[in-house]
Parts: sequence; C-alpha cells; structure tokens
Amino acid sequence: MSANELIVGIDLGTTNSCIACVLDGDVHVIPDESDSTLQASVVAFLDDGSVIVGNEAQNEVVVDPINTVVSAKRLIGRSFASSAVQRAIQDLPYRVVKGDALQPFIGIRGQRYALPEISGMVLRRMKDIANRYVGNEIKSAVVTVPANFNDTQRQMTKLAGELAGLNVVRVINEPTAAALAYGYGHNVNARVAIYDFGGGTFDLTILDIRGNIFEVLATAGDGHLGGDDFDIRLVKSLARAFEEQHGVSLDGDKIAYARLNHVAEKTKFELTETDQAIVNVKALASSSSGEALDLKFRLDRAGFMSHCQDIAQRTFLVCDEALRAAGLKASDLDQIILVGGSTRVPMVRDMVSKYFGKKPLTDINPDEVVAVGAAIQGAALAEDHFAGSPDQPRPLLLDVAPQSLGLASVDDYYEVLIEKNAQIPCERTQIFTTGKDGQTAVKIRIFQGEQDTVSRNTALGEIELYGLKAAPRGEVQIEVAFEIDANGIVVVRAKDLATGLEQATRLRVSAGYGEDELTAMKARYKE
Amino acid sequence: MTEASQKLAQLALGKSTARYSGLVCAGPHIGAQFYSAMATCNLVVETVDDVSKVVQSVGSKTRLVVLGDHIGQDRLSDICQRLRRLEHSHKVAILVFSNAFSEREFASRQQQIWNVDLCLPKTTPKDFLIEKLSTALVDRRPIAELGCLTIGIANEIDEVLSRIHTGDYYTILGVPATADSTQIRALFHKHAQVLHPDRHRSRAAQYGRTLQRLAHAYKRLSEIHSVLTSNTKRREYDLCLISATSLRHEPEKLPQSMKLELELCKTTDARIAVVESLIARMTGHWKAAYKAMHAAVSAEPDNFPLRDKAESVKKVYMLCAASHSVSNGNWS
Repeated sequence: MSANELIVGIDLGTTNSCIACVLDGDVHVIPDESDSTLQASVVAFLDDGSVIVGNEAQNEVVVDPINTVVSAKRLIGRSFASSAVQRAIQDLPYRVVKGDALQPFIGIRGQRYALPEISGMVLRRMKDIANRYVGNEIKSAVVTVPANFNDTQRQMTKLAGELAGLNVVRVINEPTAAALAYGYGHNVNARVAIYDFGGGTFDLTILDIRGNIFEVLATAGDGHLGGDDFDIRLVKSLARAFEEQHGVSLDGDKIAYARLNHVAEKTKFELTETDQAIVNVKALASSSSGEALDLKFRLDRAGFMSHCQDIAQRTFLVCDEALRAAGLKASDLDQIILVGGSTRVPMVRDMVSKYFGKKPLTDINPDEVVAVGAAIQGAALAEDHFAGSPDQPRPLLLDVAPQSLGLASVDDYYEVLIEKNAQIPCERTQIFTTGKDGQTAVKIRIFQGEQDTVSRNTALGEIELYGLKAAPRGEVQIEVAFEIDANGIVVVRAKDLATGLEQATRLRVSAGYGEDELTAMKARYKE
Repeated sequence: MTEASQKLAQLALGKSTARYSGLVCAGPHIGAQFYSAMATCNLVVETVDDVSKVVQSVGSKTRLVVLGDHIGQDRLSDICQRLRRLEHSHKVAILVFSNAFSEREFASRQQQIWNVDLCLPKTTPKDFLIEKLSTALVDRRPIAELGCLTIGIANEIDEVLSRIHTGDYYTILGVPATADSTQIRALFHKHAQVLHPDRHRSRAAQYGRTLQRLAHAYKRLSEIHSVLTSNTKRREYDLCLISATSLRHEPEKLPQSMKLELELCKTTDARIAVVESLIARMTGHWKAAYKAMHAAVSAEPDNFPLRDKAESVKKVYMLCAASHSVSNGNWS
C-alpha cells in the first residue's frame, strides 16, 4: 500500500496486446517508441540468440515462422492432450512439445519454453513501454483474460505477470473490462451485452450497469472460435486455388503456409473496407523444375461471406446460452457493444444487428477498450485516483465464475459445488471424513466444466488433506471451503471440525509446473 | 530479535530509552498488543484505575492518554474537555479505545465534542497501532489528520455477521419477505458498496483479521442474494422457511413422529434445540441438525432416549459426510 501506487491495465491478447493507465483521473492508452498503441503478441527467437518481442518481431512471423511464437494464448494453461492444443499444433508453425505433467512447452533452437515464459516476455515488453511513458517503474497491473478462461489458464497468466516483474493484483475478464470502459463515468443505467469476438475466442457477457456498479449477469463463451478461423478458412481456399492453378500441392510447406496466413489476414482486413480484394503472392512455391510459382486470386466480399458465414453463425449459439442463463430475451438488452478485431468484419456486424434487433455500438475502439477498462479497474483498486469525488464514485465490479467447479463423486459422477455464473468471490463448504480406520490423509479431485462425468471436464488438480489424527473411520471430520476469488481463481482451505484448527492441504495443479520448475523459471527472469 | 521486541526487553529491564509516558485508563480490555505497541513507540506506560484521577495524573512528560469506552460517553467528553484545559495539553494526544462508535458518529464527535485525536477499535492490529502512534508521537504530527476509518466498517461487519447467524435470509439482507428481486438487488448493491473486499484492498494492512471476517460477510450476502434473485431457488427457500416457521410457532401441527421426539424433552432448552434440529433436518442441513441435537443432549445429559435420538441423527450426518470420502477412493 502506498499513496501513489499506480496499477496499469494490460490487455494480453492472442494477436495483439495493449496497455493503459489512469493518470490524474484521465485514462491514457500508452504508445510505444513509434507511437503505436498496439503491440503484436509475438516473440521471435533470432539465430544470434537474441529475443525480440512485439511489433518489431512481426516481420519474423513470415521470415522465420518456426522460431517465432505467435498466439501463445491459445496454449497457455491448457493440457497438451486437450483438443484445443492439438488443433493449435496443426495450425501453428513452431514446435509444441509435451511436458511431464502434460503441460505444453514450446521447443525453439534446442530450448524449451513454458507458455507463461512466452507471455511473460510480451508482458515485460508492455511494462517497458509503460515505464518509459510514466517515467517510473511500473510494479502492479490488472491483466485481462477471456471470460471463459478456467482456473489453470488464469493462474498461468498471473505467473506470466510475475515472470515479467509485475504484481498482478487482479485478473479480470475482457468483456467486463470493456463494459467498464464503456459505462464508467457516464452514469449508465442499462442492460448491455458485450459481444467479444477476438482472434482466438468468442465470449458473450451480459451486464447490468447501475451507475458505478457493474454486475455481470451471465457469461458464455467458445474457446475455439475466433477471427483466426476466418483466416484458416481463407488459407485453405487459397492453397486449393494455388493447387488448381499450378498442380503443385503446398501440403507440408510450413513457410508457404505462414505466408498464406499473413496474406489471408490482410485480405480479410481489406474486405472490411472494400468489396473486392486481389491476392497476389510472388514465388509462393516452386514447381518440380525449380521454377518460382506465383499465386493470383480474386475474392469479393460476398464470396468471403458465404465462405465464413457458418463461423459467425456459431457465435449466436453462445449468445443463446448466455441469454438463457441470465433469464433474458435478446430484446431485453439496451445496448450491444462490439469488442475484438473480428467485429470489424461487416458481415459480423450485420448478423449481430439482426440477432439482437438493434444496431450495435461501434464508436468505441475495439482494440483499446479492454486495456482502458483494465486501467480503470486498476485505479479503482489503487483507490487514490478515484477517492472522494461524490459525483464519480469508484466503480465496483461484480463478476461471475466462468465455469462450474466440482468434485469427483461416486462412479466419477461430477458433483457441482459452485455453479457457473455464480457471483464471485464466493465460497461453498463440504465435509469430508476418513473411510478407513487410522487413515491420515484424504485426496479430493477437483474439476471445472459443465459435463456430467468428470472425465469430460477439465481436471484442475488434487487436494490432499494430510496429517490427520489417526482415528476410527468417520471420526475425523474436515470441513473444506472451496473459494473462487475475485480473480476467478480457486482457493481451498480446510478446517478440522473437532479442533477448529486449520488443516494442512496441498493443491496440485494439473498441467501446472512443479516447485523446482517454478523456482528455476522465476530465477531466470529475475534480471 | 525485532526492533519492537528489543525495546520491550529494554523496558522490562528498566533500561528504557523512553522519554515520554502514556497514561492508560482503558479498563481490562486493553490487550498486551497495545502495551507492546506503546513500548515500541518509546512510551513508558502508566495505568490509572480510577477514572476520576486521570486528569490529575497527567504530567509534563505525558504524551498520550488512552481512554476506554467503559468510562461512559458523558464522562468521556467531560474528561476530554478537562484534559484540553490543562496547561501542557497541546502536547497530549487523546486516544479512545472503543468498539462502540460508528465511523460517522466518531467523525462528528472527534473534533467538536470530545476533541479526541484518534479513536481505534479494539481489534486494531498491532502494526497499524504502531504506525499511528509513532506518526503522532515521534513525528509530532497530530493523529487526527491521519484519519481513522476502521471503526465504522468493523461495526457494519459485526452487524451483518450477527444477523447472518440468527435470522433468515430476508432479515439478514434487511428486506421484507415480499420484496421483489429489483428491491433485493438494490439492497445487495448497497451492502456491496461498503463490504466488497475490493473496497478495502488498499487498506488491508490496517484490518488484520477483520479483513477475513469482512470477506466472509460479503460472500454470505452474495450467496443469499443469489438465492433470493433466482426464481426457483427462492421458491425452494421460501417453502423451507414456511415449514420452519410453523414448526417454531405451531408445534401441535407437527407429524406424530416429530411430536414424540419433542415430548422426550423435559427442559425448554432441550425442546428449543430439538425444534432447531428438526428444522435443519427438513432442509437437509444434517450438520446443523446434529449440532442442535448435541446441544439438546448437553441440556439433559441423563435423558437416554434423547441421547439415542441424537445418536441416530449423528449417524445420518456421518453418512452424508462420508459419501464424499468413499467416493474419492484414493487413500494413502
């Protein structure tokens, strides 16, 4: 605690990141040396051993895709075995390897990097930008994550901050941050939906804003749906077109695919402005005789739409779910706010207007709004910046649990303890006892997700209650409190009911890192 | 050895470097923590048992007078006024050690009526005490300037927590049972503005254990809010509440088996406890049911039929609890 604690807000995005802070009551979106407020979330490992991060690394994505990490957020905190990681491995040109506890690592130039290390490098870059702007060292930050991030993903994001030398005082949901940026200081009294369609994820969050209170009513998301899907679709049709033109298949040519990816993204942007785009790639591959082959392809907006409509359509299944959870109809909403780069696609905007029956709000900058909201929350937590003004009281966020939290019960049945969309921080207690005489330890397996059987949910880890008093079965009773804190992170505490004393617990996180690994990691990034 | 404990040791050995003294008339509730905080701030502690002697005990080296709320409010303001009239009063800081006043009450009295410099709740953690005292005494800055916000919040938490353990959800939240969800939400928001842990993050160091109690109170309110604003959950809760109320007030309408159980009791204490247990059993709260039976048995330890009944409740409760342990089959 200090009088001039500055807590910045960082939007750590799949493709781009952004940083903002509140200085003297005004929100500043912080530009880098070349006046850009957006940084590519890219880390490039050069052959001379140096590492470059951000916009300057962007070039390496095309030149040296195998040694350049993009979209690290798609992998962070996930299990190597998950379908998301398996799919990402197909799309991403760099090598992803499996760790001992099923954590994914990135293998580059004979080195192994954990995902929090990569994200940590991006965060450090953001921190440096802010340090330069503010003229002081930034120590604390609010970092945003997609609303559907689970416990492990949030913990790993926090760890990334720590590796970057930042105290992550709060992890908040991107859509909630956007709502804060939209509503704070404007005395809004409305029900709003945040339609957040980013590069890799889609979330719909419904909030009720009453002056300075921002209460999330429900949130739903699809972690495998994003603007990248448009690119992938486009890349596929470009590759097919190339094959048709020249009779040469691009399969297995990672460099050609990386270039196509780049072109596809650009074409997508172009088609948001114009009705037609011409793709022209020189020397994409060579023929069997060694002759360089170019790709020429003409695409119009209608063609692109028919290609990708089903992807955008999938977002509305998520919208249905969120509305159901909030007990509302689409027409009950007063305002729709678009966040995320993919909402720039005109087709998406049209479809959103049709679904909700009203025109969405588009005059806020979808790239910066999340960082702005995070900065406002940071200032609210630091308190001093907002203290004492009665016409602008500090904002208060009431967010919800992203996914249900539960335990393994009989026959691997999943018993939900904390329901999805329960307001956080919240806590539920459960009593456990021993099943054998003289037993001194009990293990509890915890999961997150909405399926009936534990095997179809995400394993968060195992809690071990140990050092119990040896006694006949059933005599020792331990009350375990499961808490989801304001960060959306699970905290477990246990109490011996007979003595009222805190009971020792150990929480082993699945897809997490061992103590040794963590210590080594932290030591490495201590400068 | 920390600096604080070094000074404590010095004091104990009579080699104190303290130049000033602190006069304490705060009754038995003032804890060891407070004394050691004063010692850390270089104050020799003098205690005064007789309230009427406080003013005359103030000497030229007195820098701090600590008064407890056992003195009574009228007397308190009288003593403060007399202290202020003393010749060297400008050097004396007056501190009231009390849980009895809300933040607003204190703020209005502090300056105008009592002329007190600081009012702290008895739960104030030691580190915060030291910080406050040393700023006031060592740096010679008036304490009142530093402000004091903890009492009001401590009171509010106490109030909410005391209700949480007694009343039903409507009483706890402070709404009539007929309130609609808009009213319930508005009231919850009002509580949240004050009690949400985010509101207190930057002052966490001052709170000590109070912060945990505050978080606990908030989480309970939030849970209640979630039940009362969900149509299905609220209907379920209301049904339980109705049957519980009729159980309390019209025991003659109970089913035969429950009546028999009540008739086992010979004392009112046991009967009340058994009613509580029956209510808990109806709502599936076996832990509470068992605890209540336990209370009934302690009221009538020789009532063996009652003991048997309690034993069977305990069995069901254990069974409920055990279903978890068995299902988690990994034993070490």
